[in-house]
Amino acid sequence: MSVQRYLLTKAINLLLVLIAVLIITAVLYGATGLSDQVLRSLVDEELRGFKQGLLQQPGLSEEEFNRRVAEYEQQLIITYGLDKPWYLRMGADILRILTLDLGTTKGRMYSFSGSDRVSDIILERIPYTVILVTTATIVVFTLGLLFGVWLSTKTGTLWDRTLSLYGAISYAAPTWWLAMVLIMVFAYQLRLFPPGGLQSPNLPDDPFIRTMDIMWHAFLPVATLVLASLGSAIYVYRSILVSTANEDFVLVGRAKGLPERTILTRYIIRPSLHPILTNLVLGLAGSLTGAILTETVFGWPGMGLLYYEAIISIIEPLILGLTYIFTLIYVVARFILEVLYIIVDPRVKV
Amino acid sequence: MAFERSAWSIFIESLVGKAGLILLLFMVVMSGYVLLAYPMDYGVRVWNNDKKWTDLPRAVPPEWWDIFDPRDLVTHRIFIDTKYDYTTEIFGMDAIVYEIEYEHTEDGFPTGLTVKYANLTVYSQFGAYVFINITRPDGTEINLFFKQEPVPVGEDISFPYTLYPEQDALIQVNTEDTTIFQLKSFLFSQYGISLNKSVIEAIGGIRVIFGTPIENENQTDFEVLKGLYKIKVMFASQDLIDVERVKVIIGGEVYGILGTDTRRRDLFQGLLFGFPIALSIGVFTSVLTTAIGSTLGIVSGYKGGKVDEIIQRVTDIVYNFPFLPLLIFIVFIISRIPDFPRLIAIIGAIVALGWSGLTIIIRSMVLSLRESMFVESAKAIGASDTRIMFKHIFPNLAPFIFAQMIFFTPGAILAEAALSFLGLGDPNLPSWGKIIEESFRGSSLQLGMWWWFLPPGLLIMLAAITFVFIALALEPIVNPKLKSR
Repeated sequence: MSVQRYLLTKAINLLLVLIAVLIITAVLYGATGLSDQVLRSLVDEELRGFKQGLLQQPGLSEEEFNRRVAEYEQQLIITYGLDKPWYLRMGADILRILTLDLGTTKGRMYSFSGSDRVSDIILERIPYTVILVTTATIVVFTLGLLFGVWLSTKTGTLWDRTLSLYGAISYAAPTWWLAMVLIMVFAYQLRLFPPGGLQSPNLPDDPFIRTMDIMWHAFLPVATLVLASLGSAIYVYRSILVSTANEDFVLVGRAKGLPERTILTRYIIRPSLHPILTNLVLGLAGSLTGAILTETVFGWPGMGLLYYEAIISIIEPLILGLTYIFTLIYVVARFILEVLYIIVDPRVKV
Repeated sequence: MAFERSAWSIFIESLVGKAGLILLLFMVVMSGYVLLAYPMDYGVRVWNNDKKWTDLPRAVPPEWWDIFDPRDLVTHRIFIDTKYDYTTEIFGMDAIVYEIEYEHTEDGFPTGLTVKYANLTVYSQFGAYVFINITRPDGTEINLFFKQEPVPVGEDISFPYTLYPEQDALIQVNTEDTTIFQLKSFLFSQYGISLNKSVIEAIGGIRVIFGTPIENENQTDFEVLKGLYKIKVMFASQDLIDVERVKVIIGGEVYGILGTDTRRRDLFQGLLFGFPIALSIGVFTSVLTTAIGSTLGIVSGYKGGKVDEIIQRVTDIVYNFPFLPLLIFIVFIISRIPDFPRLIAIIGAIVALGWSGLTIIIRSMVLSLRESMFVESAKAIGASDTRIMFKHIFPNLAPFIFAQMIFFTPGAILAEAALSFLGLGDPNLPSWGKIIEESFRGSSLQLGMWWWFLPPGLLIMLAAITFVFIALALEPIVNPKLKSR
C-alpha cells in the first residue's frame, strides 16, 4: 500500500469516528427529550422578552395582546424547529455542528473576550489543554524511553521489580486524586508551587516574566500527568525493548561483533520505536482523559475545566460542543501520530 | 485436571497473585459486612440525612492523629444513658438522675458541652424541670443549668404528654445564658473573682467549666483541670416522669477512625459503604464488557463474510472513540432524565464504550482457531455454528477472556470514580469518588483536611490494584510466551 493510500484509509476511518460520535450525541440529545426541553426554554425566554415589550405599548386590548403573543410563539417554534420531532431536526443540527456552529450558552457562560457563543468559549481554551497534554506526552515519551532502555538491560533485578510495582500503582491511582495530593503537599504545605490557576495576578507586562510564571503554574499539572502515566509507559517500553532484544537479528548483530552501542540504537531501539509509537497513539486517549480531570483540580483554564464548569452549571449546548471538539482534537492528534508512525517505520517509506 | 492444577500453582506461587487474592478476599469480606449491616437505602436515610449526624463534631481529624499533632487534642465523647441511675429530691419534687462520669486527661479544653434528651413524658399538670450540674475533680460543684419544660395548653391536652418525640431537645450548656450567670456566681463564691457576663462569654463558658482560673497580670485566664468529672442531668416533677434517652456530648477536636467531614458525617462509616459499590461496579461492568466483546469477536471471526464486515467496521469506530468525553456526555444526558438510576447509567455507558478492544483481539484469535482440526471435525459431524462457537471455540479462549475481564475491572472502578468526581455520580450513594468530590468542593485542600480525601483515594487505588495484581499474575498463565522473560 502506498503512503497516500494508507493515510487516506486512516483519514476516512477517523472521519467516520467523528461522524459516528456526532450521530450518537445527537440521538441521545434528541431521544431523551433534552433537545426539546432546551429549545423550549429558549422559546420561553424570548417570549418573556416579547411580552415585556408589548406591555410597554399603551392601548393594547387583552385579546390583541394574547393574539400577538400566540403569533410570535408560533413563529419562534418554527424558527427553532420545535414543530418537528427531534429526528427530523437532527440532520440540520449535525451539519451545523460540523461547520463549528455550536450555538450559544444564552448568557450562562462567557468566553474571556465576553462572547457567549459556544465555539468562541471552547476555541479560547484549546491551546491550554494542548500545551498541557503535549508537554506531558513528550516528557513521558522521553523519560519512558530512557528508563525503559536502562531497565531492559537489568531484567529481574530489584530495580526492575520496583519500577514494575510503580507501574502497577500509577495505573491504579486516579490521576485527579494524585493532583489533589500534589497540591496539598507542594502548594499548601511546602508552598513551592501555586495551588492552581494559569498566572499570578498583577504581573509586569514583560513577556519573559509572564512565560516563566505560566510555566511555574503549569509545573504541578504537568508533573501530575507525567507521574500518572510514566509508570505504565516505562513498564510497556521495557517489555517491548526486551522482546526486541531477544530477536534473532540482534543475536546476528552481536555475532558480527558490532559495538554494543550500535546494537542498542540501531538493532534494538529503532525497531522498537514502531510498537512504542503504537502505544503512544493508544495512550493519547488516556492523556486527554487525564487532562480533563487534572485541569479541573488545578483550575487550569483548558477544556477539561470547562467541561466541569458546564456540568456543574448544567449548560447543555456547551457540553455537546465540548464532546464534539474533544473528539475532533483527538481525531486530529491520532492522524498526526499516524504520520509520525510512517516516518519511523522503514517499511512504508516512499 | 493436571493443567488446571499447574495453572493454579503458577498463579498462587507468584507474589502478586497472592497479594491480589488476599486483597480481593478483603474487599469481598468488607462488602459482605456492609450488605449485612447497612440498610439498603443507607445513602438517603443515613448518609445524606443531616439529622443523623448532629452528635458528631464538624470537620475533625481521626483520633489517632493526636499522636502526630504537637498539641494534645481532645477526643470527642458521646455518652448515652437510657436508664436513670438513681432518684433524688429537688425543691420538694421527685427527680430522676442520669449521671455520667467523664475523665478529662488532655491538655486542651473540650469544644463544647451538649446535653440532649428524647421523649420526655410528663404525668402531671405542674410540668417538668430540667437541672444540669457538674461535679469537678477538685470537689467543687456547679449548678450549670436549669429550665422549666413548657406545659402544653389547650383543651385536647391529656395527661401524660410526651415532649420531643421526633427531635431531641438540645441544650448547648456552655453557651446558655443561664449557665453563664451560674458560672459568674460560681467564680465569685469559689475564687472571689468578679467577671461580668460578656467577659465570661469572651473567655468561653467551656473554659470556666473545665478549668481553674490563673491570675495573669490583670487578665483572668483558665488552665485545664484534669480528672474525673461527674455530669448529672436531672428531671424533676411533682409526679412520675420518664425519659427515653439522655445524651451528654463532650465536644472534641478528634473523632473516630477516620474523622468527620464538614457535615459532621463519620467518614469511616461512609467509606465502608464504598466497598460494595466499587466491587459491584467493577464486576458488573467487566463481566458485561467481556461478554459483549468476546461474543462479537467470536461471531465476527467465525462467521466471516458480511457479518464480519459489519462487526469489524463498528468495532473499529467504537475503538477509536475518545473514552472519557463520550462517557461524560452519555452519563450527563442520562442524568437529566429524572429518577433514572445513575449507577446503571454509568455501568451501561462504560460497557457501551469499552467492549471494542476485546472484540478485535478475540476476532484475530478465532481466525486461527477456525482452521484447526477440532473445528473441522466438529463441522464434519454436523455441529451447528452456534454449537461450534460456544462449545468448541469458546472453551479454548476462556482463560484468556477471563484474564481480560480481570484486566478491565480497574478501569471500570477508576471510570466510575472519575465520573463521581466530576459530579456525575449517584448523588445518594457515598461512593469513594463522590466523597473525594465533596471534599474537593468543600475546600478540603485549602483547609488541610487530608483525612477527607486521602483515605477514599487510597481505597480506590487499593480496589484497582487488587485487580491489577490478579491480572499480572494471570498473564504468564494465559500468555505463556511471557513466562520466559
